[in-house]
Amino acid sequence: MRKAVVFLVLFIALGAFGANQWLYTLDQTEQAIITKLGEYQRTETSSGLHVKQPFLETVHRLEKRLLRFDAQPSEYLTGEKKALVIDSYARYRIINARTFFEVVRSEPAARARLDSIISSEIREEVASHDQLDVIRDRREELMHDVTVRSNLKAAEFGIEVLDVRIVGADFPADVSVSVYERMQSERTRIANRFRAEGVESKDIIEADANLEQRSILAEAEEQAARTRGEGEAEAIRILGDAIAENPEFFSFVRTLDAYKNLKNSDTTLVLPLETGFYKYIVNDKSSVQP
Amino acid sequence: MKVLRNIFAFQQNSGGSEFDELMKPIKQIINALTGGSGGSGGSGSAPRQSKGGPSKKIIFLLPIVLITVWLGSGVYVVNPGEVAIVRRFGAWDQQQIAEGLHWHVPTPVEQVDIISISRVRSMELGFRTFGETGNGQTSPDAQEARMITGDENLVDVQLVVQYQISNAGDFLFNVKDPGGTPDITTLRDATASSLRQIVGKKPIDDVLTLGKEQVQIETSLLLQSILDEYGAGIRIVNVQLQDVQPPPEVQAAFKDVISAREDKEKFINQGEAYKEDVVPRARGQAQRDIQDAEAFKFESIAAANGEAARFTSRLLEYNQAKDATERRLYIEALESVLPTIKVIVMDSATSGNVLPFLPLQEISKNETSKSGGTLE
Repeated sequence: MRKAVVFLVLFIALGAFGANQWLYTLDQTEQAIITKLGEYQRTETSSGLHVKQPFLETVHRLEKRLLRFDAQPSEYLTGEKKALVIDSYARYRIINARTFFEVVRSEPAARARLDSIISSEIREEVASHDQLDVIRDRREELMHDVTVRSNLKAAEFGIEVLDVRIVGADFPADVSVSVYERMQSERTRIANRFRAEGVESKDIIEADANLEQRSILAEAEEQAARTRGEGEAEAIRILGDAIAENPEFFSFVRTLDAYKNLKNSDTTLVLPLETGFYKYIVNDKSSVQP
Repeated sequence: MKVLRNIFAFQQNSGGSEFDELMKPIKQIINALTGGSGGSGGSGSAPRQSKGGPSKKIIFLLPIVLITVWLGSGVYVVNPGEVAIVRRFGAWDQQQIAEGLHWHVPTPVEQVDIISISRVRSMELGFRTFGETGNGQTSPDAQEARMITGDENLVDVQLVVQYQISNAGDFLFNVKDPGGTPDITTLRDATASSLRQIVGKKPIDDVLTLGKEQVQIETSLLLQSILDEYGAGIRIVNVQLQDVQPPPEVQAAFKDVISAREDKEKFINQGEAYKEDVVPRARGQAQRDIQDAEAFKFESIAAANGEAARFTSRLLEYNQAKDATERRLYIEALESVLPTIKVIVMDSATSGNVLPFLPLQEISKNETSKSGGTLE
């Protein structure tokens, strides 16, 4: 009974050890370089269970996934010698495991190489563009060019650079005060424009209103004057027609009316005694009879 | 943990009694191993302690039980909205296992990842939420939020990306993040890059006000294309700008622009108000003037008609007795007027020589006339 247990344990231990030496698994995310006593044998990219020569062959696992390289933000000079702090990252993968293994061997070493390649490419590209190109106009092209050229250089150690992206292109910290001042002055400009435009519109509207008001009144005055004139003309015509019947009588009656208007006025009349009205004061007989 | 959950699921689905059956020998084994002498090992003490059947039984049962437990650990449940990816010796056969109860060859051979493809996850950029989502407090991440606009201004942008895992296999196996299994570093990198690229094309006023929608759409599209290029297996559901502000250092100036815009409206309204006040009044005044003139016209004509009628009728009577009427009218008129004014009467001899008496005004005031008298 005890023997059986011991045997079982021994069997399992041996089996495990043997399996470990003969067999190896590769994950879906891995590829491997097989070396025999330090010498390159083959590259295994398919995942799953694989066989190797026990004891002699060694498995070196490498990533098959897309890897990330995050560059530290650093200052670059643009074409017009302005400083920009550019933060970038790259995505790459190991496409030639043997070259990768022989040249750089590990991911940290690869990242160090990428760092120098990518930062020098960015430096070169940024230096040949103006600030606005980097920020706005030619950003995609710039990133694309850096990617293509980094990819060419990285191929030397078995890496494909899929994408170099500028995360941020920012002003250096010591420039930000002047940036704020510029922003503020620009806002002041815009605010002034708004207010002045408001006053402008107000003046225009009020002037329009005044024009409208005065033209309405002027037209009304014109029309009123016409109407009054018509009335007066009509009145003149009516009276004239009436007077034409006997102008003599009219002037007589009208003169008498005018006399009546002297009533209670501060007027002094000097009249000769021969005036019809007084003639009887002196001579009571002679001229009464017409 | 997962194994325990799987065993539990197994128990539920295959009935409690069977599970008890499984547990009984395990208990016996534990008793056998610990309840004995407590010496160097179970193998030494077991035969002595159990003289009858149970110890032999245990020896045979032990591997069977272990194998059963091992096999049981391969049971797993895929809930609705989840898929499972099974790797055999690390290799994936491109199959996605749908919802339900499943079994896989347990751990050294096959391993399972269960991934929710229906859950909408979210990632924050430019700020972080602490505590429970929904009522958690947020704190801005100024470094991450600050970016340059197309007109070289600075702006702080906070944004939330909502995303789903659209392809579990791609998500698990295509991209390596610093956290090993996919964390959101890839998404964060790509989001920061695409957002800054889009904002870098637009003037600050667009980003702050009317262009937000456009920024969201363009960022979403660019972000999706980057992720597709990486084969990240992530689908962007929504990119939502949360808070877009100018930097605190210049916010006062930006607020002043807003109030200036309001001022502009205010001025325009004041002008309109003036216009609304003046023009109707003018129209009213104009109508008043016109109608006044109409009234004047009417009055004039009426007066003229009256006057004419009066004249005509007086003429009619006058024509009846011309001389008499003429005299009467004359005398009546003078009679009504002369008593109310000053009259100096002189005879014709002196009247031809009036000048010596001038100024008449004084004479009449002194009321000292030599050759005439006042009729008063």
